[in-house]
Amino acid sequence: MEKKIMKGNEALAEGAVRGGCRFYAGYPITPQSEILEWMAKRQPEVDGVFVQGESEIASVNMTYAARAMGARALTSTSGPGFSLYQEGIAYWVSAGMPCVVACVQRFGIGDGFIFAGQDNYWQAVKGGGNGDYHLITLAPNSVQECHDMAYESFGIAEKWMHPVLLLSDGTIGQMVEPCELKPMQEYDMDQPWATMGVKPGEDHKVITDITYFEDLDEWNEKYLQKMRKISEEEQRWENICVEDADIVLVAYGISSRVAEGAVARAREEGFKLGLIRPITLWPYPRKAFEEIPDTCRGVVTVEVNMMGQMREDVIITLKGKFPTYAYATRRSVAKVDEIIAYAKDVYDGKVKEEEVY
Amino acid sequence: MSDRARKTPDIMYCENRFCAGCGHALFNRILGEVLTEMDIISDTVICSDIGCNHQFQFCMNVDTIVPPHGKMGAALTAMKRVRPDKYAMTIAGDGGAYAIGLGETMAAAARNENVTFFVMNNTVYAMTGGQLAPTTMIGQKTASTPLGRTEAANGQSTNVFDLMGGLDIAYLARTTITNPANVAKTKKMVRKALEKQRDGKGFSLLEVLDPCPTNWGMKPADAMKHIDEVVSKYYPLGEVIDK
Repeated sequence: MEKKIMKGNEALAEGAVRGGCRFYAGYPITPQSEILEWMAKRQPEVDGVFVQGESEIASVNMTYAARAMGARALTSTSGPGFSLYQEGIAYWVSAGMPCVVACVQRFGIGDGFIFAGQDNYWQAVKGGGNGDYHLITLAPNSVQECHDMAYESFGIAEKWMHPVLLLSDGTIGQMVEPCELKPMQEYDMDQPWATMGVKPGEDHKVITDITYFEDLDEWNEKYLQKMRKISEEEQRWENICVEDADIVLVAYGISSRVAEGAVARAREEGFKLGLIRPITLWPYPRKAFEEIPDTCRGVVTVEVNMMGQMREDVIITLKGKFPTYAYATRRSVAKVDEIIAYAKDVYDGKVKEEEVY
Repeated sequence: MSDRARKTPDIMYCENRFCAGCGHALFNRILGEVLTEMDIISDTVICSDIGCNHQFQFCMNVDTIVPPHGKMGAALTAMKRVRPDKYAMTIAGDGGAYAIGLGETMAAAARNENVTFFVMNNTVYAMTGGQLAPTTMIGQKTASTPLGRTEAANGQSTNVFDLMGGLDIAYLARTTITNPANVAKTKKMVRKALEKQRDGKGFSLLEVLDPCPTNWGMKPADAMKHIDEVVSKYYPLGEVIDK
């Protein structure tokens, strides 16, 4: 197995290439530009296509058209660009195009800042564009997972004919770790659903809102069944020391790396901390929460944002069974001792359970 | 020859959905004939705009991709680069190509992408009820310029010859379909634009002045006359780039 020391962003791009990605379009934006630069070098080497779009809006729609022509297609961006992507992504969904998008989150509203954040959560998992949809959302928390998730993302998208979002963050994207590289996979672009020109005697294919050519009510029913099936079958998570925890942390991405350290340290001190790490953010891993013991005193999300965005999904999942809290560290990634101190305050009843915003 | 020209090509698989006297139906028929005569239907993918123009997909048996309104310049770029052996073209509206999609249209032209734009210029947003388009003429009344377009309020009209005249592209031309002679001319220009793409010469754009009797409040024959007497004077016909 080939092993390399690399950045999360590079590992993600290489994972996509090895997973058969032969089209990439994107627009430079920090902290994800390494994905674009890696693709600029790699796509020509594998007879793929690289386009630096004139904007995020152009890039998201290039990705759509490339996918419609059959190529495994990826685009990547960060917060402000991800906002511009939303119209295009809604079109992917309505047409059932299995495109993949990576969003390497940075902190802030509007332009925001170039350093890491986890405040695209709502936009990422609650839709983002118009209409009823969620994207299948994978959240890597290591360089290796950036690689592995990009590698398998196309297969997941094609299994459901539904887009996949890789929700990374500036820290995961920029940090350097060893990474085992996956073997090269080839993909046949001549898919039965792809537009390639009508052969004599065939009916044409139109890549558009599927309901323009199918009965709207029948399609709605099928779509709902599919989304329900995804939400049951694609849940992924990692539970660490949850079965006897007095306080359970819930964290993804970079926050989960720190939370993992907090669990280990707290356990050494005799404080029974546990961690639920959602690996898919949609579907939200509801099943992971079944392991929480009745004796648990509180469930605490750890997030790099202001409003504790993910706590809402924890509340929805727990349906009031346990009090919930957000250790939302705003612009900074949480520290191990701070997490433990906050969790102890929750355990001691010193923290008031807040209403959501 | 004349018999074959009169027969509707098989690519037109049912009646179109356009209003009586609409120019889109005529143009689609012309394009259908050219694709048939060049024998490239099985190598053609059309990128649709969104607007009246997009209704070709409901009467033409041709593979189609529909991106968001106006984003054809981006979509065509990807289509052609992924499959350079296919013909990538759009039937666009003037609002799609020159307003909401102006950036994507110009960027594709500036890169001299080897793709073809057919832009239907009827001087209004037709599907939504005849509002101001970039191509609305000074003085022209529309649903959103009830007193007529003024330069002060709405800016100058967009003339694609001015936008692209200086670019290093393969083909830039304007035509109309107001009478049999013009239809025949348009057919030749459609073919020429596609031959530029076939020969790898780069970006081609053919604008078609077409009538919208519904939103112009005219009878179909009067709308044709209006193009000959007014619109084609404002937007001159002809080929300005032919490389």
